[in-house]
Amino acid sequence: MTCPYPRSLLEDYVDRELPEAEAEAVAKHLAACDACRAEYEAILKLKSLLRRQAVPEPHPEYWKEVSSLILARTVESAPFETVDRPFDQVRSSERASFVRALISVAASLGIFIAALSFGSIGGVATSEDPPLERQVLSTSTLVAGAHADANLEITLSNHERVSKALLLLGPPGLLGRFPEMATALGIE
Amino acid sequence: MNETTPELLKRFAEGDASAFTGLVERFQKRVYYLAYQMLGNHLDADEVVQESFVRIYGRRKELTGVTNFPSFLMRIATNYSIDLLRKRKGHSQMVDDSTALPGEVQVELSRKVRTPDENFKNKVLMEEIRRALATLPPRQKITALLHDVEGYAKSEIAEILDCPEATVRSNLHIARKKLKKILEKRLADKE
Repeated sequence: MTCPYPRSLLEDYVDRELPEAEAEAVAKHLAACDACRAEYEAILKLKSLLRRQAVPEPHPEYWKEVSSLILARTVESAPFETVDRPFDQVRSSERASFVRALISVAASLGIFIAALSFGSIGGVATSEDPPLERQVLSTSTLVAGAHADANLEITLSNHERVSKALLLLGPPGLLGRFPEMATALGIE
Repeated sequence: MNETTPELLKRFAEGDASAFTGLVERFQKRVYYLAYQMLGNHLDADEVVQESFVRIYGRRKELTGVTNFPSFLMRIATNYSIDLLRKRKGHSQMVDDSTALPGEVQVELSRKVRTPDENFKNKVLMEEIRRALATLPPRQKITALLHDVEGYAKSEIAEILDCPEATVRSNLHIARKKLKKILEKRLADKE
């Protein structure tokens, strides 16, 4: 036997989710309708059965263990300080890193150019002492050349320049290590 | 210190890691029990607990706009449980691990003292309910569990499952109808 009374009203009544006036109306209907009362009791009993489900309680230490595992996977592996900085701070820090990187690149470039000019290019540019230019590429050549050629004059300024270059780049110097670079730069 | 959930949440959103610990301790059991009922075994329930809180931590920037944290957390937990349930489909998802872990204690929601015979009958009944629930599609199952076992209102379930309230009503109605049919004999028992 079925009743056309709305099932949703009946379910809301069981769930106590109806306003007082509507709940009273449903209660009146239930008192008069066997089919709806049977349905009402069936839903009530089903809810009671579902609530009786057994949930095995884990080992008492489980809750502490799982908390530790969660913390190890979150707070301890990705702390707030490194991950959760405000957007503004992140941007300013990125800017600072970029400036630092730029300065270091510029400094490296400066040193490289200075090294080249002290050690090699300066020599090329000076037309007064061409023999020394070649000799800078290899200290042994420089010494041998100085003794072999009686006409070779090693001026104080030339000596200083060579010493600085050697100090910066170390023997036998950058161009000595990479002769192709010397060729590319037009140094014989 | 008995902080309210919104207070913990505020501290957590401000970057206080200890508040996260507080949230985990406060809500881990709720997530575990629901996941266990949904998936039927300790290992999967454990995975849901861990994964849900790891995801909460990952989404901490969103938490400032969250007004109902339990619903937000349960949404993450139920979505993960549903995914896991679908993944386990075809496998034996209802592993009876009631004796799998040493030191485990069976806690029943009705804490009556029972005779051995009553205990056996009760275990059979629990198994029947579990099997009946296992026949439901994931969203009907989670709706029935959230509503009839955990006591969430339909509007809250709609928020948790991110669907209209009408869908919750419809899922609950269908789930109850199926369960009534499967458990017909039990429902006819006079207790």
